[in-house]
Amino acid sequence: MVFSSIIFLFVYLPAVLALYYITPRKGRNFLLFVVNLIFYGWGEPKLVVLMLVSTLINYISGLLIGKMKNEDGSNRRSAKVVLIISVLVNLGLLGYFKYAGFIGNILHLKVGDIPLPIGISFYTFQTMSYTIDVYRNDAHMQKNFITFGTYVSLFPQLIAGPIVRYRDVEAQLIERHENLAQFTDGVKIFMIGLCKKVLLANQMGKLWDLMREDTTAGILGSWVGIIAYTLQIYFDFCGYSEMAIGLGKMLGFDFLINFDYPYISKSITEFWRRWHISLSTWFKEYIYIPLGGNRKGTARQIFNMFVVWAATGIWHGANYNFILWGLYFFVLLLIEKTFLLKKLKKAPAIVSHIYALFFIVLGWVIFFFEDMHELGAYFGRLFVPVNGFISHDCLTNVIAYLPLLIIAIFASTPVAKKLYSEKIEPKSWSWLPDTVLCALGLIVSTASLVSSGYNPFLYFKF
Amino acid sequence: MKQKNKIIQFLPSAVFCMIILLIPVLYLAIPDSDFSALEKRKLSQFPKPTLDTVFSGEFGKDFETYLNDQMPLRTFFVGTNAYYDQLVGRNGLNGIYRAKDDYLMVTPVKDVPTLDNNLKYIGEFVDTMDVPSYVCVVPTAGYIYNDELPLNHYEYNDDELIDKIENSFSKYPRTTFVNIVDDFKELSKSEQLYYRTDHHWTSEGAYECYKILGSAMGFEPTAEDNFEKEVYNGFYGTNYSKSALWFTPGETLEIWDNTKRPQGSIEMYITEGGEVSVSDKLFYRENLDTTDQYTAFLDGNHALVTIKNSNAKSDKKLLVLRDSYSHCLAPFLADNYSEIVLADVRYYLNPVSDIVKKENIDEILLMYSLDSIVNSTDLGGIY
Repeated sequence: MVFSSIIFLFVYLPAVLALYYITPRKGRNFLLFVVNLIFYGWGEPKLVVLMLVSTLINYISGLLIGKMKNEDGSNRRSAKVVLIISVLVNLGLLGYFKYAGFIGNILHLKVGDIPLPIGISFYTFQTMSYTIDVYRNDAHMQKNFITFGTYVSLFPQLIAGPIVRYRDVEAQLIERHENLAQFTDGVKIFMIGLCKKVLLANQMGKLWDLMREDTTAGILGSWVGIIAYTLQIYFDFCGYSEMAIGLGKMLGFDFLINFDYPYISKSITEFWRRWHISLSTWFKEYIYIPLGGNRKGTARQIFNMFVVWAATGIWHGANYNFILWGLYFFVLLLIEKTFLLKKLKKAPAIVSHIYALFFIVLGWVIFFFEDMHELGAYFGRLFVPVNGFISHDCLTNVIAYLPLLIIAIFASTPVAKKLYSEKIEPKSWSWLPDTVLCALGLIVSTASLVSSGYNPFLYFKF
Repeated sequence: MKQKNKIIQFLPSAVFCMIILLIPVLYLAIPDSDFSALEKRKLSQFPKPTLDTVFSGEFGKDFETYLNDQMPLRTFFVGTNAYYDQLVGRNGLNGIYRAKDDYLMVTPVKDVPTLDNNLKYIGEFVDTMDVPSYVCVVPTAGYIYNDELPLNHYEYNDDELIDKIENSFSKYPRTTFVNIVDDFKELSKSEQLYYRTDHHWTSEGAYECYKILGSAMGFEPTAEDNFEKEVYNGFYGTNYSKSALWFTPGETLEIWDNTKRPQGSIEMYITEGGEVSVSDKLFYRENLDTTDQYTAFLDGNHALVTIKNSNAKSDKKLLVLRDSYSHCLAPFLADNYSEIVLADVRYYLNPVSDIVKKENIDEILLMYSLDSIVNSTDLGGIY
């Protein structure tokens, strides 16, 4: 089930909220666990079993590691063995369901069609953060299976993130104090996310399709196309994360933010501090730093970066282009680390901003095209005027989408947020614009969902 | 910062909860409908869950389709989205332009490979026929009334497309192409040739084409003053339904009935699914009260329609291969041919060449809108 759908907004969500708040506090985790499974199983019920198996393995691993560490120092080695086994099992499951087909293709083996379980990349990373944190004493073992199961399957962030570390929600899982102020914040954040997804991402997606498929698009049309995709992927992903954060708040959880206006970055290094923060944090915490980070000399640091970025690439999808995409950023970050970052800091803001955006946008070309020939062809369209500048009909499309393009670009900067928190939020009448915008946003988003079957969800692949 | 603990600060959540609770209540309260008049299609019904369908995920998918089709206030939401699109400048991206003077116009027809196939099918057909044939293509309203279009619109290349079609028939000696583009362009300055809310031509438009056909095919068109023009208000066409711009005003639909024709001279046979029904009228005025008002002409789409006129100006027999544009053209032609057979190969699946032999057809008219001849995938049925 996806958030931006009639069934979620008008059947699942009202039912869950109503049941949640009539259930006494101590029953709420159990209720959440049940409704999470319904949410997850809605599209493909069989895959619920896989998630439950994964949950159970990590639950037992956590218990074992916790117990061994609690007794005395002598079992530290056994705890490590259990941890290694559990990490291998997790990676094995992820590897089999996500990468077996790809690897089989490379090795010319017959693997057969393996269905990609939705959200497996997200929940596997979450459960791994739990066992590792228990091992490192950063979190306590969870004896209650329901509580642990609720964490793994929590529907707001289950299928598209953010990747919530167990330690960040440990206390809230055991005891949380839902209240109206938090709920209202949740509604507002959810609505911002929904509008970003439905009114911006989906529409930018349509423009991207129009430009990409139009062979007369020319250089200008091709650039508008990839900029539309740049905006689509941001609003899709960021919108989804915000809906997750909003839903979390409605249920009494506080998740950390996942996107911090990445397109205002002035370097690629900064971009990756602002884009999909929970994923970058995960890789930093559980791969980069354990490998030694930057403490073991330059050569080792470069190697560590290479590992992290190859992994980041492949995490996004089982295909060459994703590996290429990861390595593309490895190279850019390496260049920035060696000398460019210092120069960028001295350069005028506009120059470093254009530099960063240029390479971010080109990165999305690599990210989008899984077929290497199409990827090469699109690069050609961006830099060689084979189809001229732009055709009349293509320009017509650009003009038709121009207002939304401008709105989307504006919405990817923090200007509106800043104005809101300075001029409206502190005022006693802020409830009025809040209410009007929430209601209008919901009505217009619903109208858009009802009107079109067009609701592609980009993140099933992860 | 001021103290903000007043209860009114929570109003956004109250309104949000009200809306998401109200919709499911309306789902339960409003009975499901079977058919959407505006979309002209059956709506999906509640899927019965079985163990199999639930576990395969099929029930889930069907249930979502059902929810979407039976959404309460669906018309309101679809309309809201249409006007929102207009507000943000996206005019015509759903295939309909909101043009000046309450015109809703279909976006241009583009040259696609199906056109070449269709020209091949038609060409082979007219070439094998011994009787003279005529081909006529109706341009789109957007091309003819170009000035009415919004500023930002795709180019209409109807003239080029129709020239291309005309040229493809020049090699067949018994075939004449009747090009009405220039005449229509000229007439458009004074006449209402197309509906504002529908893609079809008006009775006026069909009559003007009938006159042009007369000089090409060598018959004498009935003069305009022979017709009694019945005017009906409140016509909403297909472009209206497609656009979802519900505030667009309705328009008038005219039926031009030749009242000077003696009573009882018309017999009309409608063949549909092997059954033949007979009537003595060309206009089905009762259909004006239904949701598909355009079926007032010849009762709408049928596989095969035969019109016999015992009082016709000639005893010639005409076969018309056609789309729905001929519903309102055929009543005019009926004055000049003792028998007209209208075959719509979208529904008529037997060889039309058999009709030519069996009915002793004297002339063939292929009458298509530009959209049909370019995009139809059924014209392979002309043989």
